[in-house]
Amino acid sequence: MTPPSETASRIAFDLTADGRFCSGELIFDGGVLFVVEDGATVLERDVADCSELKQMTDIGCGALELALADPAGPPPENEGDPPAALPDAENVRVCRFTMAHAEEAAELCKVVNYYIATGDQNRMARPEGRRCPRCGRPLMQGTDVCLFCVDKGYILKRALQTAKPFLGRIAVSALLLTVANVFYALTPVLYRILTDDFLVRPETAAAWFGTPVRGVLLLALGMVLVRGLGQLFYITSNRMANRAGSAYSDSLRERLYAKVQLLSLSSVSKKTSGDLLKRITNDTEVIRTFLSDQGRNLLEQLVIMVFVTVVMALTNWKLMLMVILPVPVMVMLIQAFWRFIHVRYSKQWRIESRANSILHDIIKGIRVVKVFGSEEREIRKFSDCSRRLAEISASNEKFWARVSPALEFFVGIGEFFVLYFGGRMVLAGTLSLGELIQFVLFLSYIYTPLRWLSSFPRWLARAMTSMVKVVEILDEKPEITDAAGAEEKTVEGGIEFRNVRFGYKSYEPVLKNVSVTIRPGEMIGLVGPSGAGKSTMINLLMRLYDTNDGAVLIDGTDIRNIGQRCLHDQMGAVFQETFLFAGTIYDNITYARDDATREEVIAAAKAANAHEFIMALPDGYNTVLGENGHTLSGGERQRLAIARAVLKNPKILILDEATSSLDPKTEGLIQDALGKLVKNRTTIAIAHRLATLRHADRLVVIDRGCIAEVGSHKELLEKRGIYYRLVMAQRQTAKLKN
Amino acid sequence: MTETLAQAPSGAEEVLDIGILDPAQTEFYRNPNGFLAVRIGESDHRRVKLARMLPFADPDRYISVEDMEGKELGILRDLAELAPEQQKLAREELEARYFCPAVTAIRSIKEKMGYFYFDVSFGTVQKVFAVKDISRSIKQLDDKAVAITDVDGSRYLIEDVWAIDGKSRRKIEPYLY
Repeated sequence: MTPPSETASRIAFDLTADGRFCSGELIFDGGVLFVVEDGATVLERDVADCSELKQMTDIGCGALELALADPAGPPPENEGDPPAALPDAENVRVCRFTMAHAEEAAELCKVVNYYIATGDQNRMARPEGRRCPRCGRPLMQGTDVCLFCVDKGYILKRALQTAKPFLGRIAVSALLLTVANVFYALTPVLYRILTDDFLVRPETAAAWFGTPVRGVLLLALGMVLVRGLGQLFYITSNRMANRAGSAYSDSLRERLYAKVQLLSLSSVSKKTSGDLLKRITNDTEVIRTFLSDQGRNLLEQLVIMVFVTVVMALTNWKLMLMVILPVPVMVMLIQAFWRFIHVRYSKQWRIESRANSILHDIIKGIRVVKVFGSEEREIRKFSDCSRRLAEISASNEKFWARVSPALEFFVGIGEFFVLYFGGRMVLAGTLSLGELIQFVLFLSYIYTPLRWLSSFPRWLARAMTSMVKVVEILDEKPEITDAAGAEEKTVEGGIEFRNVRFGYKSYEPVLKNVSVTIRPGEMIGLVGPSGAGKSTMINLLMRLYDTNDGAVLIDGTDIRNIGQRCLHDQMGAVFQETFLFAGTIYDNITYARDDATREEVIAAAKAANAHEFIMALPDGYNTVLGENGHTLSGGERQRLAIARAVLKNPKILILDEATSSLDPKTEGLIQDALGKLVKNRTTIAIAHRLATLRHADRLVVIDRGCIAEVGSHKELLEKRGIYYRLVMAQRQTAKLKN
Repeated sequence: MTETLAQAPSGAEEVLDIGILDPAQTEFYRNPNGFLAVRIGESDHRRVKLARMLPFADPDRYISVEDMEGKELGILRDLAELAPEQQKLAREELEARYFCPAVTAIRSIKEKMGYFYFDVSFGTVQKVFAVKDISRSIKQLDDKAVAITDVDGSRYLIEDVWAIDGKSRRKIEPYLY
C-alpha cells in the first residue's frame, strides 16, 4: 500500500479474526480502508459500495464490520443519511479488538460513515487521553494525570492544599509542642547536674548557693517549673490541634459531600453507596485522627530525638554513636515492612466496605428479605463477610504482634552497648557518673519514640489509603460542566433534539440519530417498547448526561450553553419512583422552592389532589414522614411529587411513568391533577399505559433508538404502524383482564 | 405429597416451553462471509450469535442461539450433544465472542490512588491493564478460577491460581477473598 496521507484516520487494534493478540492498525484514507496486521496488509477495501462501518460489541471485545449497501434498496430520504444496507450476514469482517480500543473504533466509525454519506473525509477526533505518554499505562476517565506517574508527594500536596485554612493553627500548635518537648527533655540534664555538681561534689553546690541542701531544693523547684511549663504548653498545643483537626475533617467532609452532589450521575453510579458513605464519614475521620494524634506524636518524638541527640553528642560523642547505631537498621526494617502492611490494610478496607454495602442492601431491601423469608440467608451472608473481616483484621493484628517484638529487640540492642561501654568509661574516669545517668535516662527518650515509630507505618498506611480515597473524589472532574459564558435565560419551552446520538457507553448507542422538534406549550407523549430509549431522551433533556453527537436545544440554544442551575430551575419532573426525604410533608413539597408562601403550598397540594389526604392525617402538613415516606401509599407519595412539581411551576414538565402501577381510582385523581399541571407548559410524558397519553398533542414513537412515528393518536392509528400494534396489543390485554 | 412437590419444576417447564433445540435438528455452518449460520429444522438463519446463559457457572451448557436482532431462536442444552464438527464451530464462535485470555504470570500489581495496574503475561504477550474497584472487578469464580475485568471492560481469566507460579500467586493473593 502507498503511505497514508496526512488526513488519514488511523486507529490501533489488537486481535486477529480468530482471537489472538496482534499488533494491528486500521487506516482510512481517501475512501479506502486498510487493515494491517503485524506489518502485513490483510485487507484493502474501498467503501464505495458500503452502507456503514459498524461496531459490534461482544463480551470483553468488539469488532468492526462493513455493511454493504443494498443495490435494490430505497435511496436515502435525506441528504446525509446512509444508504440502505444488506442484512448483517453479508457484512465484511474488518478487525477485532479488546475493549481498550472500543472508543477509538467508535470515532473511526463516525469518520467512515460521514464519508460514506457525504463523500468528505473528516479528521478523527482522538478520544481524550487513553494512555499515559510517559509510561503507556491506561489513563482513567475524569483524570488528566497518569495516576502512576504522579509522584508520591502529590497526595501529601493535595492534603496540605485541602488543609490550607488550618495550617496557621496547626503550625502554632506544633511550635508549642516543640517547646513543651524540649522542656520535657531537660529533665535528664537536671539529673546530671544533681548527681555531678550537688551529690558527688557538694562543694560546687555550696559555692553556688551557700549550702548544698539549698542547692538541691532550688534544683528540685527548677525541675517542677520546667515540667509545669512543659505541661502547660502541651495542653494548649493539644487543644489547638484537636480543634484544628476537627475543623479540617469537617471541611473535608463538606467538600466531599458537595463534590459527590456535583459529580454526574454516571460517575456516582459507578460506586456503591456504601463506598461513598464510607469515604465521606470514615475516611475523613481516619485523616483527622492521624493529624491530631499520630501526626502530632511523630512531631513530638522527632523533637525529642533531635534535642536528645544534640545534648548526647555534646556530652560524649562516642557513646552517642553507640546509642544511635541501631537506628538505621531499625529504619530499614520499617521500610521493609511498609509495603507489606499497606497491602494488608487495603485488603481490610475493601472487606470493610463490602460488609457495609451488604448491610446497606439488606436494610434497604428489608421488605423483600422478609417476604421471601430469607432472613437467615442474609444473616449468613453478612456474618460470612463479617467473619472474613474479623479474620483479616485478626491476622493483621497477629502479624503486628509477631513483628513488633522482633523489632523491639533490635531497638533494645543499643541499651547493652551503653551499659557496657558507659560503665567502662566511668571506671576509667573518662565519663562522670552524672553523665552516665543522663545517658541511661536519655535511652528511654530515644528508644521509646523508636519503638513507637515501628508502629507508625501502620497509622501512616491507614491515613494514606484514606487520603487517596478522598483525593480521588476531590480530583474527579464532573463530566458535565457549564460551558464558558453559559447563559442564564428564561425559557419559552421549545425543545429540539437535533441528530442526537447517545450511549451510556459511546460505542453502544442507545439513541441513533434522533431528531424531533417540540413547540412551546405542546404536550408530547413518548411511546415505545422498554429499552427503546425513552428515558434516555429525558435524561439528555434534563442534562444528566451529555450527547455523544448532535445537540439538545431549548428555544434554539444548545443546553450545554445554558447554566445547569438555570436549566434545572425551569424544569420539573415526576418520576415513577418518588423519592421523599425524611422530614415533614410541608418540607417535602417546598423542596421544589423553599421561598414558597404557605398559600402557594396549599394551592399546589390542592392542584395535585393531595390536600384532602394530607388533612386526613392528624398532623396535617406537619406530618413527619419516615425514610422515603414509608408511611404513605404509592398514590399519596405520587401526589406529593406532583404537588412539588406544581409548586415549582416549571416551563418544561417531564412525567416519566408518573401514573403507572396505581389503581384506576388513584390514577384518575392523579390524571386529573396532571391535567391541571400540563396547561401552559411544554410537557413530555412517558407512559406504558397508552390511554394515559390520549390527550397528548402529538405522540413520538421510539423504536430501537430511532424515531419511528410521529403524529396524533388518531393519525398514528390510521397509519397502522408500531403505535397501532401497541394499542391493539394493550386492548387485547385489557379484554383478557376483564 | 412429597413426590408431587418434587415434580413441581417439571410441571412449570411443561406450561412454559423454554425453546430447547433438538441437537439433531440444529446444524451450524459458516456462511460465505465467514459468519456463523444455522439451519434449525426447515428454517435457515444466515447469521446468528451465540450467548452463554451462565457464562461463569456453566459456560458449555444452556447456550442461546440468537439472530442479529437479539431474538432468541432457541436454546442448546449442552454443547456436548452436538456432533463434533458442529461443536467445534459453536465453541469457536463462543470463544471469539467471549474474549477472555488466560493470564499465565503476573509480573506486578501496583496501586495508585485506588486504581490497580496489573502487568501480566498471556504466554508470550505482555500487557498492562488497570482495574478500579477491586471488590467488583476481581471475581473469584470458584476455588481456583479468578476473573478480572479492567476499566475498559476487557476481561481476563486466571484459570487456576494454584497452578500459576508462586511469585505471581503471592501478588494476586491479597486481592482475593
